[in-house]
Amino acid sequence: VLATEAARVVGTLARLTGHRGTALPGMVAERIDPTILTELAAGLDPVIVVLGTNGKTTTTRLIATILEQVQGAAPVTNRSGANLRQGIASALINDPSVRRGGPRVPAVLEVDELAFGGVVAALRPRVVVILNLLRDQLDRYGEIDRVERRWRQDFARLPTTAVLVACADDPRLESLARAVDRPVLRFGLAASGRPPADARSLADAWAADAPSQLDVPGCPSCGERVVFSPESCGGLADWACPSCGTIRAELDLGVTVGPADASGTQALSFVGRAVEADSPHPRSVSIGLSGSAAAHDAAAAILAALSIGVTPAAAIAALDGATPAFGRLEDVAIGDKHVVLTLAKNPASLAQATEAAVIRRPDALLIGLSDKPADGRDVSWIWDAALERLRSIPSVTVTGSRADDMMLRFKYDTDDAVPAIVGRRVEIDRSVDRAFDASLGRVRPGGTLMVLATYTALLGIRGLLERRGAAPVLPR
Amino acid sequence: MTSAAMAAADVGDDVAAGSRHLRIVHLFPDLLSVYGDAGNIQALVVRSRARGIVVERAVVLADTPRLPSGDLYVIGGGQDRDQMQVERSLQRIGDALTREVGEGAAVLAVCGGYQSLGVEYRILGERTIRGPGVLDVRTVSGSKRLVGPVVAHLEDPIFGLPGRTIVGFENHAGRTTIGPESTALARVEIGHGNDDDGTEGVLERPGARGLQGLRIGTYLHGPLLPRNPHLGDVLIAAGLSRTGQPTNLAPLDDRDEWAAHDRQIERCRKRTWTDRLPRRVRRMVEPARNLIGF
Repeated sequence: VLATEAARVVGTLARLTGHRGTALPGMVAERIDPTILTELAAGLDPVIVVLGTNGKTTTTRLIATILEQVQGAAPVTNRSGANLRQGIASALINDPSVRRGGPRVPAVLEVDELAFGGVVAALRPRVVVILNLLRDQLDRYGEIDRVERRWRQDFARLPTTAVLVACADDPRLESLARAVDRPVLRFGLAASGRPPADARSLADAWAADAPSQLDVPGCPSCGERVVFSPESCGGLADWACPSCGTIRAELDLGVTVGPADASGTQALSFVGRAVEADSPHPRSVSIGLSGSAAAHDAAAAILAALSIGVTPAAAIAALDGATPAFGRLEDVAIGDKHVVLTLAKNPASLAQATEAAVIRRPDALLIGLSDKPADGRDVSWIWDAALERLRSIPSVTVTGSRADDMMLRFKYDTDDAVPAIVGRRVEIDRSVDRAFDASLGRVRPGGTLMVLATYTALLGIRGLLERRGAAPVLPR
Repeated sequence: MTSAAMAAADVGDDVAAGSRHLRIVHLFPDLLSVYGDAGNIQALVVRSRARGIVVERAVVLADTPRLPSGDLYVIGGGQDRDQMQVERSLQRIGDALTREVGEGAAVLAVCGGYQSLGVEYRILGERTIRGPGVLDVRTVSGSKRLVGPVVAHLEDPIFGLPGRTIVGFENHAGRTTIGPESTALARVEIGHGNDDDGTEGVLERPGARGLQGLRIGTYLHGPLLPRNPHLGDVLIAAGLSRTGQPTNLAPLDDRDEWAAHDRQIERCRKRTWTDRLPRRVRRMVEPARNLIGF
């Protein structure tokens, strides 16, 4: 009790002094009482944990949206994305519905890839959603293979009743799913009426259509590189192994991405045995999330809800009009202009952000690149996503502690002797405030400023918007 | 400040002399390209074309049967598992690469590629990966990864720039020892380098033939060349010298490149207030500092 109270006081103090400090209360509480996470988590049931390098925050929010609509009360969740052990403890401390001896409440928690092993025993999750394992923050992880090995050990410690909800479009997760002795429900992009064919001819056909596929994971059966279908979703898609003939496992829930409009709304429809039990017809929903990766996130959220007994009709309907999480293509109005805020932290998220830039057609682009520990100290990933699609944006400004590196990225983004930068304006301004004002000044009334930023740079810009009264306050 | 055109450099002499050619071969981008290594190729191509040099690019993938002849071979970094696949591919094309290098081709090998082109890479608890020995280095895996920004000073006067700095980011478990005949590329000021022994990378060049056959191995990615334009130009000149073409390169407007370079050095050298605290206190303060950023 002392620990919880002390932590709440610290949290209030931190907010009063202008710090967000989402992880600080948990840190203080754990110093006073190291068992606090286990104790508080005993009041939760069921616990749904969301893992993956890309899409955790969005998926957590979508699952919470479904549960809130279906059950009438919001589940416990770490909405602000504080997903290390202390951040999870803070989320439980800050939520008044988590009480000792009180009724058990459902929880949806995103957990950092490497923090999972430290919380799995305390949380005893009933459902673990695994979105993907893409390259991310290698300065922390060392190698992706290392995360995969860690997860194998961590998953072995799940309660025997636990269910995995995994993305079948990521071959790495298939290797994991095979190694873990728990039921697995799979989601992925619905195969668009492809005729049954052997893996080798599929792989040949796809390889011919696809651009150079770098950083492709190995086949779960033989370890050779798989070939992805060109119809990809955040870099992942239906796949086949040309070497041993393995194809993607059968899906419990397949998603098809419909057309997106310029405001960022897109139509998704769902097929597969998980929804067909309920109705033989594909079910559709229109969600306010743009970008193909949102399709995976929505499918993951629905399958997670189904696995704790929500009906398909209710789960899908609950996503109608769902809005983006903090900084995930979040659309903020400022006067008569729009600001679209997007977190870019690794090659996959940068690729998604450039995809969104094509749909939103912004007048100006502001890129904030920083290298604090929360951003990842190594920024070399900016060279691993194609930026050609940003060339049509009339005005580009770079800011943040590594603005110089972003400047060079643009300078060398050319196939000609004359760098692309010469033909248009790329400005550098290390002051985030000034860079933001200058960028917004170049947007026409009704137009859009697109902001791509690493975590701390995004917080800075978000804070700026809050001070101007434009953005809703950061959700707690 | 806006960036000025790199292409503004005077390329008249080059055109008058007939256009020069450079064949750049990128080795295994499908296996080794996790640290922005594509940026190294991009820097070489753009900086060559800005001098009117006609660039031919070729890519060797894991299953490419034959090594194309080239003036400059570039190989990047990857994971241990990918390096095992690289080993298999090098068994096929390694001899051809050794021959090309013997005939004067230049090499840039970064991180995993640096280890893979060496004599061997012993991964403790797994097995030893054998390399073609294009670089005379041997690597053993260590228990702790060496991760962080690096500032180092070039050793060899060949660059005409002894003492000039190079900057990058390292992230490797391997500890590398260079052969007795080779020299280190640079001396580490900040970071770990080859084996926390003060050396970073390797520099090999056959005797008195100038830049011909220049081989550079390094742990620095980031990527290396955009922020170290002097090194990029040395490699372009080395590539040109393979076929005996003139190696003079008109200067480019590299203010943006040097701004990024100098800023990393400045940031690495700057001590924060926590650096002055005793180690025990620092260990307590830093987690909180990283979490809430005071």
